[in-house]
Amino acid sequence: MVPASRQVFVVCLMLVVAAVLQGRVAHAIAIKGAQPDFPLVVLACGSTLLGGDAAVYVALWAGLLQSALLGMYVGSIMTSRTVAGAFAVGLNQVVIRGNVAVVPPVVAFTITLASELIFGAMVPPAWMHHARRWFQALLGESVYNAALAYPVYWFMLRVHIGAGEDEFGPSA
Amino acid sequence: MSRNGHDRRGIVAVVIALVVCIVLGVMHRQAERRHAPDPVIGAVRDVILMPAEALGVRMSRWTRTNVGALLAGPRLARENAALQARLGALEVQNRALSQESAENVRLRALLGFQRRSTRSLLAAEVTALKPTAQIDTLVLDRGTSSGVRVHSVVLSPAGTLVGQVIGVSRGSCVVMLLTDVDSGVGAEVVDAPCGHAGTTVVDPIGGVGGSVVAPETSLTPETTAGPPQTADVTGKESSDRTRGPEKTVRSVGVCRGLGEGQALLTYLKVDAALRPGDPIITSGLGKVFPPGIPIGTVALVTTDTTQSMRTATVRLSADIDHLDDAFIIR
Repeated sequence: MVPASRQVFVVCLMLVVAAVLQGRVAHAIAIKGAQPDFPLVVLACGSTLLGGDAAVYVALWAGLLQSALLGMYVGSIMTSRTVAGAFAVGLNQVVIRGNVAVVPPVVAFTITLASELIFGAMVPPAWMHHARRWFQALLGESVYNAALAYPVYWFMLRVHIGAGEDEFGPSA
Repeated sequence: MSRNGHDRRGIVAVVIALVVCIVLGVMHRQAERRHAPDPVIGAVRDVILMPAEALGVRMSRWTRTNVGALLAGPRLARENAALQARLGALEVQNRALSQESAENVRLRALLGFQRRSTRSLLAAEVTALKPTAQIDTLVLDRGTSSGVRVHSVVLSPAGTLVGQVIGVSRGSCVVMLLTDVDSGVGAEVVDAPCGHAGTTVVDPIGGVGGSVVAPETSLTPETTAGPPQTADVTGKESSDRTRGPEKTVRSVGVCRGLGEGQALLTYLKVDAALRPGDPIITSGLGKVFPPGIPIGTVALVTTDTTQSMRTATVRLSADIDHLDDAFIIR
């Protein structure tokens, strides 16, 4: 069994790598304005597997990294990611618990939607002037993230994220 | 631990996390108002992200150079031949221009013009570009330690406008691109010089243009030129708006970002004579951007339904999606 603190550390490290990829790769592989959000994918999978309070703190870390990357809307981005992380835990526990085949894409898709909608609600000027395009990009991003969730989820399982239930509570 | 215990810990964690979000959000807001660096966000960027991003940049350049070159061998050979030919032509042109430049210096000295004020440009590397689809920003590897401030203006290697610094820390800064929906730049449409639509019109910064220079290089033009009260880098002095007899301002407006790499020139007079291809440059009216920096060209002109205003779609000069380096006006 991998110690809980090491699992959190690995997910936090993966979030840093995801943030770097977000700045270097994401815009280059955008399709019709929709680009993936790597930190959100890692957050969705990590929160689902870790569960409990660790997932919330990891989500806070994800928000902090993305705020540092964007340099604006700091409070809104952090809040949206934190709530999304907590939502991922609840979603997995209450709705789709245990079904590994469905969990990664469903959680990634839902978390992306939830996170960006919370962000949109907190910062209306970011989308109000071009609402249609914003929603299209959001939908595209959600689909993109859902597709990317499988390899990330698989990698996390390989490095034994979510292996210890006794410290962080139930996981997938 | 029982299920209730886990739930309670989860709720406490959410509350703590939200409090941290609010505190950091307020701190960032206050730092923005003071135009000061945000200590927490800046520290996270400098200590955690920048080293990782710098590694990412090195890896991507290595891959492009070593792996990409193998795949693009024949194309590179053709490009090399074309560049050699172009180099020869430019050398001839450069000799002629050098002679004219020397003559220009001599004549200006005779006329007793004041030496142009020196403005230094700082070369910076793009470490992250457009991290989300909704917000158009980029991260540069220069910060307050290199003299970068909030509202410092950022140019592409070709000297065209890229955006302005909105967040700065010791070793990095975040730039809001002019295509971001929050971006607004005072702009004007001018006549194309000698009928060459889309080319650089005026160069009030001095020494912009050309190739990327080494970091910390200060481009200070040797020539004397310019009006007595040109704008400084923050645009505080923009009273003198005459920048040479060759430039005719057709219309003044605001260049607004639309997101997704697009921009519009709005609030144009309805009777403004605009043609596709007309150059658009900064007007210097916003007190952030110095006047005369090329933004792009007019792509399409439309009149609103009330027939009171015209809007032009802007074809940006800077290739923002492929920026590897940039200049910051200090």
